Amino acid sequence: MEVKLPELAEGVEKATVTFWPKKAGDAVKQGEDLVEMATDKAVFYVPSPCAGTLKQILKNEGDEVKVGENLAVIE
Amino acid sequence: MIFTQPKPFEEVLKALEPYKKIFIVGCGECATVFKTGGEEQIAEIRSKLEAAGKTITGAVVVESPCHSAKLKLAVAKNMAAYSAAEVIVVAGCGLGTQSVQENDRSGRRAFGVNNTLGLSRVDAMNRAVECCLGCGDCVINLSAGLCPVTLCPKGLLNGPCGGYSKEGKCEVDREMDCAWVAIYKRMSKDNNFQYLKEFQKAKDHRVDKRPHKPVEIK
Repeated sequence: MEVKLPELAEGVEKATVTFWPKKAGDAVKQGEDLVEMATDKAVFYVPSPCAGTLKQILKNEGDEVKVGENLAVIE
Repeated sequence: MIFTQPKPFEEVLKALEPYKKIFIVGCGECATVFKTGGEEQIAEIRSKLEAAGKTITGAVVVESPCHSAKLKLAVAKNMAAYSAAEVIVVAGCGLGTQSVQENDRSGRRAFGVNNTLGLSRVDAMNRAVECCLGCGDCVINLSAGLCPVTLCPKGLLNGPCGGYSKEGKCEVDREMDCAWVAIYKRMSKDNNFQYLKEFQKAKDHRVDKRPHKPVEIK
């Protein structure tokens, strides 16, 4: 399953990956903090949409991501 | 703005004695204005540290290192150099230094190169003028826009002490204007002496209990 950057606050269209608490191959639970991201106003976590294994990280720390873009793949 | 001045460099070097690899964080807001943490100062700090035998893994001027989101954004974009350091040197105020340390996931220490002197405005002659102590119980709406708590060395709330000179100078420092003379002159401009006509009770320092609890910004 692809994990996308969800809709953010009104007028905010992108965010930057600041930290991956998990690495590829790690097990993740549904709702668990998957990736820390930041805009110039706030820091937030994107939760894992399902349980499984974090198969692939598609955006590295420091990468800017647009709303709807893929962040990772969970198997 | 938060007014800062550089610490003696020997003091900084002593604190950094056990460490070799350093990442430097500057401040793009107040410390840039006060020339204690902008691009130029970071370059200067870098060359001084290198001359002292330190290895600088990288440096970045963060828009506001005291703001976690802005700090994390800048760090994420410099992650390799940031991660390679043993400690972080912060050219900002005490807020910036503590913010960097609080936000460091590996628990590294952050060292400040500046002393934080307080809240200042920058006047038309480009001077840092201290005008607020952040006491938590502001009276300037009553005192003609001038803060007696800050501008009077005695923090008097009910007019001047008996020590001001005929020229309106403060007895604590004869080169300094008496805050209450200045407040009176300002009140005279619109003939509003409301504050002086009412007795001001001693400030309730209970409202200024430090540290203030974190407040959610909504």
